[in-house]
Amino acid sequence: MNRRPSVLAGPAARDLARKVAQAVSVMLLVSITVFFAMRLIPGNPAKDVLGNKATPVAVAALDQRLGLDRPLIAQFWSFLKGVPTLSFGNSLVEEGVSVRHIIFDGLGVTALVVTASTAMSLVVGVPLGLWAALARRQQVVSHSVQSVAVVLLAAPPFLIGLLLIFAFSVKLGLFPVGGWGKGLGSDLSHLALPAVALSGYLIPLVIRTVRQAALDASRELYVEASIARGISSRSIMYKQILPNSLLPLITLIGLNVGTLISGAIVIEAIFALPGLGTALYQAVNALNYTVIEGCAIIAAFSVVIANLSADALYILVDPRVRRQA
Amino acid sequence: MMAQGGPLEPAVAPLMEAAPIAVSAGRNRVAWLVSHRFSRRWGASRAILFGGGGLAAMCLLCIAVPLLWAYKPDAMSALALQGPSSAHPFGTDELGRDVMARAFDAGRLDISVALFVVAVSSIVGTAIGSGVALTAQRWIDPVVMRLVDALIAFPYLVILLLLVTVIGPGRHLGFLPSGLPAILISFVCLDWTFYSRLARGQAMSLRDREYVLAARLAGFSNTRILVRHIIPIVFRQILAYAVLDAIVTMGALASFSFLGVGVQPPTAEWGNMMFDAQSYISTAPWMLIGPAVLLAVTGLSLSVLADGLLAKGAGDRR
Amino acid sequence: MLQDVSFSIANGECLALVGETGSGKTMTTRVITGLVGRSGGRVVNGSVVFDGLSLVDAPAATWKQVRGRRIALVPQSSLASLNPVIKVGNQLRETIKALNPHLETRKRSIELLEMVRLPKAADVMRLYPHELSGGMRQRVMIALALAGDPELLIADEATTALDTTIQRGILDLISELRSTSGLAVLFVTHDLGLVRRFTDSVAVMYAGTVVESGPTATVLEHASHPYTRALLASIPSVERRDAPLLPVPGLCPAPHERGAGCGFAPRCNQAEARCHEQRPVLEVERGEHSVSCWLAVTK
Repeated sequence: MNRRPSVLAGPAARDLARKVAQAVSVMLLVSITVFFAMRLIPGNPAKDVLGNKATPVAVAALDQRLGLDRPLIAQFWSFLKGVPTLSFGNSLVEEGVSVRHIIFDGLGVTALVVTASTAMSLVVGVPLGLWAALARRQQVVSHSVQSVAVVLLAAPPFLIGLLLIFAFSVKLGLFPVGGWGKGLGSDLSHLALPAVALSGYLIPLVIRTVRQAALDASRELYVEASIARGISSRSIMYKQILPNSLLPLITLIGLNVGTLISGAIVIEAIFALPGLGTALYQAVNALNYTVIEGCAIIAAFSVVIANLSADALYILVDPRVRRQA
Repeated sequence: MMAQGGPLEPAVAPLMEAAPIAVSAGRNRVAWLVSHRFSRRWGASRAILFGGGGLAAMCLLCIAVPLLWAYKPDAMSALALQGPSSAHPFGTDELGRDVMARAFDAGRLDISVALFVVAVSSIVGTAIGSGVALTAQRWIDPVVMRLVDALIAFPYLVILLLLVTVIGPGRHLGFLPSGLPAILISFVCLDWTFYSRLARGQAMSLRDREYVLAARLAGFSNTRILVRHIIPIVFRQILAYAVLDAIVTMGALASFSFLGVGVQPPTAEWGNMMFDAQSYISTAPWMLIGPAVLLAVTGLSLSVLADGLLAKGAGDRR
Repeated sequence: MLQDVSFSIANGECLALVGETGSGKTMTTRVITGLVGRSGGRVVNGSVVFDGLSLVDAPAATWKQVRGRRIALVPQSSLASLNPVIKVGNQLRETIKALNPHLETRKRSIELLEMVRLPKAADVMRLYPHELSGGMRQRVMIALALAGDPELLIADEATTALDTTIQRGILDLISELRSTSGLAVLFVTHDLGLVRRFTDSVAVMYAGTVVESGPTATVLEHASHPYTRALLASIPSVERRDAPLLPVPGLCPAPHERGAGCGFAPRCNQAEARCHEQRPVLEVERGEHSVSCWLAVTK
C-alpha cells in the first residue's frame, strides 16, 4: 500500500495556487479602480481641502506637496508602490497624520466588531439550526425558528442597532450608548450591542445553512446504516451530522465578509465606534481623498483575503476535496 | 413548416437552488434567507396577496397622509418633542414637526427610490446578462463576468461610498432633493451586476432550447430573439429577487442618509429621521419609533411578497 | 406498501426473500430493523416478534438492545452506507465501542476483518471507503454487522453489485459463519440461482405480498404459484441451453396501482375471474410449503 500523497502535491494545491493568483489580480484591479476613481472626481482636491477662499498660489503649493501636479502615470506608479505597505500618504484633513496610522487605528476596532458578531452568530445560530433540523416535533420548531428569521431579515442592521440602543442602553442602562472604552473590560461592554446588532444579519443565514446541511446529512444512507448498527443517536449527531453541518459555514462566512464590513460601517456610525467605517464615511463627508483611498483599499483587500482563507480552510478541512485524485 | 415556438412556460433552470450559499455574495444575503415559510403555511398566492397588499397599502398611506393629514410634514411648530397624542399619533420632533406626517412623507421617498433603482437595475442587468449569454463573441462573457464578480465581491457600502464621493454627495439635480442624484447613480451602477449574474444563468439554460435554435435558423437576429423570447421569461424569474433587492436597497438608502452621505436634511427620509432621533433618544424615543416601524413594515411586506413570488416560481417550474 | 407478509426464521436457518425491484423486500427489512419510521412509514397492522420480543413500535430502549447486538443489517450499497470522510478502521472501532464498550477496539477490529477474510487487516483499517474495492467493502460491511455478535443477519442484496466470483466468496463466507456460530440469515435477493445453493427456505414476494414460501428444495422443485414458476422459467440454465428465455411480461405494479385482487393477476396467464376480485390468502406453516393463489388452493 503506497503512502498517501501529501496535501501540498495534489490537485487541491494547484487549485489553491490558482485561487491565490486570482486574489492577487483582484487586489491589483481594486487598486487601479480606486486610484482612477479618486482621480475622476471633478474639481481640485487641493482646492476642496483649502476651501473656496484659497489663493491660486496656495492651491498650487498644496498640489505640489501632494504630488498632484505630476503626470498621471507617475502618480499611479507611486500609488501602486505604496499599496503593499499600505502607505497612502497623509490625511488631507488632519495635519501630519498618516493614512496608515488612521487605518491601523480603525482596523482593530472594526475587526473586533466583525469577529465578535460572527462568533455570536455561530454560537446562537448553530444550535438553533440543528434544533430546527432535528427536533422531534420538527414542523413546529422548524416553522417558528424560520419565521423569526424572516422577521429579522426585514430589518436592516442599523435599525436593529438603534432599537437595541433604545432598549438596552437608554431604558435599561445595561450597556453604554456608544463610544469605545479603555482597557479590555470596558471594551467588551462597548462591543456587546454593536456585535449583537451586526449578528442580526448573519444569524438567520447561519440557521438556514446549518439546518439544511444537518437535514441533508441525516438523510444520508450511512447515517441510517449507523443507526442500524446500533450506534447511539448522540454519537451520530456529534461525529457525523455536526461536522457536515459546520462545513458549509466556512464558505458562508467567507462570502459574507463583504456585507459584514458594510454593516459594520453603519453600526460604527450608530454606536460611535472609532473604527474603519467611521473613518471612511467621515472622510467622505470631508472629501479627505487619501483616507478614502486607504480605507477603500483595505476594506476590499480584507474581503479578498477572507474569501481566500475560507477557500483554503475548506480545502484543508474536507478530505473529499483533498483527495480529488 | 417549422414548428411554432416552444411551450408557453418553458421550465427554466432552477435559480441556483442546489448551492445557495455558493452564489450569494455580498448583498444578496436576503435572497437566500426567504425560506418559503409564509408561503408554505398559507400558500404562495396568499403570500403575494399579503405582501403586495401590504406594500400597496403602505404606498397609499405614504401619498395620502402627507396630503390629507392636518399637519404637514414640514410644518414646524412650537410644540417640540411632544409624545404621541391624538393630534400627533407619532409625536413631534425637535422642530415641532409631526413625526407621522414626516415618516410617511419619508416613506414616499424611500419606497420610490428603492423601486426606481431596482426597476432600472433589473432591466439593465437582465438585458446585459442575457445579452452576454447569447452573444456570438466568446470573449465578451468572461470579461463582463469577471468585472461583475469583482464588483460583487466588494463590501458594497464601500464601493457605494466611493461612487458617491466621485459623483459628489452634495449635488442636487432639478427637483430631486440634494444628494439624491449621487445615490441613484451609484446604486444603479452597482446593482445591475446582481441581476446580470442571475440573468446570465437563466439565459444560458434557455439558449439551447429548441425554439431558440429554431428562431435562429429562421434567421431572426440575436437581438430579436433576446428581446422577444428570452428576456421576458428570464425577467419573470428575476422578479422575486428584484423584490428582495428592494428591501436591501431601501436599507442601504436609509443607511447612507444616516451616515450623512445620502439624502441631505431637511428632506424627510427614514435614515435622516433616525439620525436626528438619535440625539433625542432618551427624551423623545418616538422620533425613532415612527420611521423604524414604517421601515420594518415595508421590509416585511416586501419580504412576504418575495417569498410568495419565489414559491410561485418554484411551483410553476414543476 | 406491504400486505400479508408472513414468514419466520429459526435459529441458524437461512431464509431467502426473493422478489423483483419494488416487491417490498427492502421495506420488509426496514420494518424488521425499525427503520421504517425514518422515511415516514409505519406499521398499521401485524407483528414482528424476535425471540419473544415485539419489535413493532418498540421503545428506544428495546432497539438499543436489539440493533447491532441481536439483529444486524448488511445494507444494499456498501459505498453509500459508509461515511466517506472517516477511515474504515475508525468506523469499525466506533461500532465496536457502541456495542461492546469494554472491548479493546483496535484488536477486535482486526479480529473482525480477519473473520471476513480481508487480508492485511491493519492496512485496510487505514483506508477510506472509496479506496476499497467493492468486494472488500462488502466484507467490511459484514464485519461491521458481526461486530455485535448478532443472532440474525439481514443481508439486503448484499452481493448484487459484485462479480459472480466475488459473490461466491461472500456467500461462502456467510455460510461458514453460519455453521460456526449458528447465525440465522435473512437473505434478500432477486437472484434465484443463489437461493438454490445457499438457503434453507425461501419466501417469494410480489407487489408487497409473500406469494409462496417453504423449504427451498420444495419450492424450487414444486413451485405452485404462477409467479414463482415464471421466475424459475426465466433463469438461464446450462441444461436448457437451447430453450428460449421466458421473461415475465409486464412490470411489478407500484403500490398505488395495485387492484383489489391478487397482485399478480394482471400479469398471470392463468388468472381467473376470482383472481382479479379477491386477494388469495397465504397460510404459512413451519417447514411446509405455502402458496397464496386461488389456483393452488383448489388443488
